[in-house]
Amino acid sequence: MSRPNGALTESAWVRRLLIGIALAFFAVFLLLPLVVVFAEALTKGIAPYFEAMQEPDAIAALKLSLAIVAIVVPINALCGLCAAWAIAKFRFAGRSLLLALIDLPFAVSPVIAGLVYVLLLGSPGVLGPLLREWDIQIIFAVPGMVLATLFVTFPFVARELIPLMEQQGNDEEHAARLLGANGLQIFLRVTLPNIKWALMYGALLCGARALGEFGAVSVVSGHIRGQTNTLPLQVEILYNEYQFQAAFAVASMLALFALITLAVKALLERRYARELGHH
Amino acid sequence: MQVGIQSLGKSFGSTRVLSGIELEVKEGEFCALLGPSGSGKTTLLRIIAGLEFAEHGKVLFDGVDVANREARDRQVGFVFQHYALFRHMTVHDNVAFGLQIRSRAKRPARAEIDRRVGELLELVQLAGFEGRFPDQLSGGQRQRVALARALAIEPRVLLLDEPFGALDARVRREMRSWLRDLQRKLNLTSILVTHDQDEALELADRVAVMEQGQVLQYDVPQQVYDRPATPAVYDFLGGANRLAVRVSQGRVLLGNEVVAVLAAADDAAAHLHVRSHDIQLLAADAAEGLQAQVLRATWGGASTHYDLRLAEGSTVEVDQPRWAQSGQLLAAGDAVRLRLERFGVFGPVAGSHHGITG
Repeated sequence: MSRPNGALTESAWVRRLLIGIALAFFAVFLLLPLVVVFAEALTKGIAPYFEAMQEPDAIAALKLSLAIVAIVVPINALCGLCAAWAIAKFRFAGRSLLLALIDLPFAVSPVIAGLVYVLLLGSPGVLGPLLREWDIQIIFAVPGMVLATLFVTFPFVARELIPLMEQQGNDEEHAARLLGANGLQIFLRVTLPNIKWALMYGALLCGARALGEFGAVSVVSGHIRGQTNTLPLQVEILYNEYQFQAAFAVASMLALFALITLAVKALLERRYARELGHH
Repeated sequence: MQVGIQSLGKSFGSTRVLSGIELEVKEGEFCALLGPSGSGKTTLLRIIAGLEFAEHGKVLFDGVDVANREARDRQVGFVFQHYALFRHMTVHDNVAFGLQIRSRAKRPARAEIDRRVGELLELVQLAGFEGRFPDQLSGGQRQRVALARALAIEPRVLLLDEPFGALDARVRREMRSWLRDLQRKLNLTSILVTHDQDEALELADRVAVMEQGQVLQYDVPQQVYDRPATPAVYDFLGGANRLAVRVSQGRVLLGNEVVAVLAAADDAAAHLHVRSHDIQLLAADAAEGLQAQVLRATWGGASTHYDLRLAEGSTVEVDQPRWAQSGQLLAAGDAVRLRLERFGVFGPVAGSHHGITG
């Protein structure tokens, strides 16, 4: 009897066991919570579900969350692109320090990140008196929440781009320059097309995280309903008030966004893989 | 166009990568910068292109200093070792790039660009490949697209950085003779960087042998090969044996045997360089030649390689061409005599002497 994959066929049971464990884990820890979110949201039926979502505070929270994403994603995409460009294409003093700093938001607990902004910009903080003098409110207001989200989600784009840009090197840019292209033409016609899928992928991850960020935003938010509550904060408030069905209804909005993100991500990954393949 | 390099020097930090470079490439001439990796040849090429800058000295295009001219204004064609094609563009768009990015006033009409691209692709024997992407081409094809792209801007000088380095041996040889013909046809001043001596000697009108940031010798290939200026050039150009000798009253002594007689030379210790294929093997009972013993024989098709030990103790490598082999091959332990056909003697005082015996 021929056994082409001798080593593999022999451990058929081991294989099944491993796959089984993975699937069980996936079902219990990933799929089940998702199902629970929607099930709990729909316990009282369809009508209360949509009612909970149409609650003015819930709509305000949704609007604020989307506004923060709309501000944060472009800024971080641009800054991340600049940082990645500098790190991947040039050698300069302080380069490794910058590289380490980019990862800082991932290393620091989001709550600490939020607290840093409170201590820096809040009324007792370093810049607090100055800001009060000019009548600028940052902490416990939307600007603070944007800043905290910016900090927490900064690494996504840069980390996605740096390895790709390093792998691609400078030769194409040099070739373009020698053919007579100016800086802007090189960027728009050579650099950007080479990284566009990775850039979108990074921006997508950045957006998903910005939408769901809780810790940092919670610290700098004033928790004022209808004004400084994002979706995750709204869920927490409703849950603490024992309004479980409403809490899960709002949570299901976040879950829905997550599913959409996942679908777009899968689509991008396919294009992104091809971008990596071109070399 | 004529390219001139005058007393050029450059350092990276505390490392000196180029010093005192003097070079002149005439109109239509094909110059090769030949040297081991780290000899500074690629840096020199990139300085000519404007991708790097020298600390001292000048780069002259037709006698005009280009120090203040940016890379994009120098009108040089550059071919990279790893092609550097724009991976997201078709072959057509790659070749057309240099024309399409021009300001509206200088840009040819679309039909004119298409016509030029077609001509160039025909020139590099890739007509009909317009719609392909770089990753759908072989290495040799990619390098020809890169060449067409470089030629599209009608460069004043063509710079080639190890253009065949990433290709396999057979394609490399084909590309070499093809490039030679093309360069002649276009009469385009060209500078090639390579570490492959065959490539340099075969392609170039003049070869600059570089080591440790300096040009050791700059001359036509035959001169560089037959009359290496320094021991380093000898070492770099083709498997040379290096033997310790003494020069005494014009005679070159290896141990106690006179290997050669030089016209004029001071008495000194010196080194004799002789290539493995410039040594003739004679029968053990021949009347002349250095006595030696075979240590090892390796049959290799076109020639047989021998490791020999001379009577005075040093070892020598010899390649005997097939036509010179008669009867049985020599085996380890056999006695043999050697005649040095061409060699060079370099000493601290004596300077360089080149000899041909027989």
